[in-house]
Amino acid sequence: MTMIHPDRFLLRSGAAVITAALLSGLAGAGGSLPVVATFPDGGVVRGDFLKPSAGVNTFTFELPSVPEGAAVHVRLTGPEGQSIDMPLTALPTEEAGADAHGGHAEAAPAAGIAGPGDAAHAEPVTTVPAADQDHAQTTPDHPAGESGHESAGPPASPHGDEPAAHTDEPGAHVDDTEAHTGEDDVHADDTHASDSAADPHGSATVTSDPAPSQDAHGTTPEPHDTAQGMDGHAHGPAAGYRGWTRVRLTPGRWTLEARMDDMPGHTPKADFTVVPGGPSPLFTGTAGLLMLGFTGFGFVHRRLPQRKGNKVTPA
Amino acid sequence: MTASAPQPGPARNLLDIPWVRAFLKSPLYPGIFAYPVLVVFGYIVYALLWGPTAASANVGTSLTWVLWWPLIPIAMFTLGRFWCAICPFGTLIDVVGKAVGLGRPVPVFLKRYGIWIIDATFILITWSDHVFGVVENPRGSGYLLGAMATAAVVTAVLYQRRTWCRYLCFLGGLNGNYSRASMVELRATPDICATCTTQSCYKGSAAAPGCPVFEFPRMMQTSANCNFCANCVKSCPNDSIRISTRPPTRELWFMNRPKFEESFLAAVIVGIVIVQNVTMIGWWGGLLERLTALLLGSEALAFTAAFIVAMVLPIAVIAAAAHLSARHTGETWKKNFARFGYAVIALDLAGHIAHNLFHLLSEGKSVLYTTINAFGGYAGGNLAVLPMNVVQGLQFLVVGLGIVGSLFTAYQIARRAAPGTWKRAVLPHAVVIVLFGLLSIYLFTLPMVHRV
Repeated sequence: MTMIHPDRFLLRSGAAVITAALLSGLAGAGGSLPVVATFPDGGVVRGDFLKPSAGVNTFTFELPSVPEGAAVHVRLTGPEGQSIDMPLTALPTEEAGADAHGGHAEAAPAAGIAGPGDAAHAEPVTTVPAADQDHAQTTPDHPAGESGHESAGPPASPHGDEPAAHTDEPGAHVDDTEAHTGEDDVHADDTHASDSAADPHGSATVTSDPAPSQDAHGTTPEPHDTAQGMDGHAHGPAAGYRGWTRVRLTPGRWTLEARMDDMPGHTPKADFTVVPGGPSPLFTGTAGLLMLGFTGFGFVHRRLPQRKGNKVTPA
Repeated sequence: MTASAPQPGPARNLLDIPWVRAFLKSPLYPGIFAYPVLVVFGYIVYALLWGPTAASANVGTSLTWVLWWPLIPIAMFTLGRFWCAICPFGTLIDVVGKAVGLGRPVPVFLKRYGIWIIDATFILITWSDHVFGVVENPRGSGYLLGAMATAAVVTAVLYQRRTWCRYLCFLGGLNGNYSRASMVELRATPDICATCTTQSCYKGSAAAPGCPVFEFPRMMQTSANCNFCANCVKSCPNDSIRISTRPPTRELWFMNRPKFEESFLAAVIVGIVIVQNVTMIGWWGGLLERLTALLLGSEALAFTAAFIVAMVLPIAVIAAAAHLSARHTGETWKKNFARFGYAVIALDLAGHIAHNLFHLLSEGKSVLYTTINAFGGYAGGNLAVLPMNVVQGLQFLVVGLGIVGSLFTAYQIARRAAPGTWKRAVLPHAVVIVLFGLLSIYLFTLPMVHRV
């Protein structure tokens, strides 16, 4: 019968507990996402771009400044033309204020781990009447698809297909596009990382635009609209949205655009650039091959019959 | 100063304390520290390679360069190479070696040139840190740790015990030098060992493997390699092993067989500390720009030129001092360099500690913030643990102690090398030590930049 050595048992148990704690930490590491862009009215976009080329990424946004009763569409557009309608969750009044102060995206990634498949069940266009604000307070931590809110638009395509509502762009949106084209010129020479001293998270592998985007009104955001939104103000009516999804973020420029049907001129937009993250495949490949190769060599060689001084009986 | 040589007095054997002995003899030690450290190390490498690219946001960067790296020289001074007993690379080597190691003997060239390989690696890593970015770049730090882990695994598969730690690890070389100035030592009791026939401290026994760094406690005269893994404490059937406290730097006073390459490493570290300090002060950027303009517009070339000067300068100055001193000790300059080079170790250690006190105490809270943020919380704010004037005062104090330690060591060495002319023999080296010390103090008066 094999005896369990108490010291070794303790040692191994301790190591297992610590490993489990760290692994759970790894799993929850997406809970704190760096700010990658900001909406002109104070909302922030957060992203977890640890492995943009290798897997899905948690991606959240908070848009605290939304006029009451507005029907909101939020769309994420990628560098290769991919377009994803973001599922939305209403942001309660208090949280909208808190988020405008740099509050954290604690709900979105932590709540869930619903993948892109869940997004298919979400309502990409949600109307939150003022009367619904109280109700919305109960559902901030759930993906939009679980929020129970009424959908005012067509369901989103998980593949980013263009919903009909979006193909019929209002004229105001065309104007916005022109305005943003101008912005792109400004952004073209963007080399600033978003991890400013004011941003305690820094930025993972994302650079964001140094100049906040102009909104459709052509107004320049106030200077206190920092990347964090830590400006000490609650912008506009305190009704907002939070959304999250997990998408494959390919390197390049991405745009998150919010459009409100009832306010055609109000289309806050946030741009950010995803750059390749993670270690060089050359490094990981070489190191991995060397480690595996040598340990494999040792494993096999120890089991081969030795020529001299062999103490191992060959099979 | 008296002319008589101070002799090591009887020091208290820490193993006489029952709980210390019981703990070191327990199979829990050092694994109870080593395996958690290995797990944390794995997480750090993950965070460095896959986490945020901004050093200020990467928990791996703050844990490595704001916490661990500043604590290393302090640990070396107080506990010798204890860190090496729980080092993740060493643990990795133990695990891999036990599972698939071939146990080949250490190649002769490693025994002969290992310290030079360590010297070269240390210089290369310091250079590449500034040219390619290692400390300020989480990926660079991850590559460094990953490369070291890979090399450690390869040597663990091929060679017996901890060949990597003893002959190749640049950190081990650094630690070895610092440990000579440490406050603790492990030695065997000669009278007991004289009758021993088992030599289980070196060979190992059923209680524990043999010494992982190829030391034979009976013959040990230096703490440069002992990592306090306590295998010998467990294996020795006669309880011959002693772990004692000692006056800092005392080992350096009695170097019977000084080695040029070890003194060379000490001189190299002087240069590295200068480089680390200079590149973090305010006017370095302007100087680098001017050098870059002079050298084909290449910043890498400009830094390399400045780096070579910083590396060569201490070696050249110590060599010049050795030339002058050797006239009074009746030996070659190289032997004199080897003998007196150990004297600067105290100053190296003090400079290293003082430099990193800045990082530890003026940006230490980043460790807390980045750790909380990495695990889903939110924290931020002022990074300083202590006000800058307090940190600066501590830096001056530490460097001052280092100067005193180095001067006293040089004095002790000179008294043994040239009993009749020790004053003239020590004077050139004393001048060099004071100059290096004053340079360090001056550099610490200048504003420095943070790592994160």
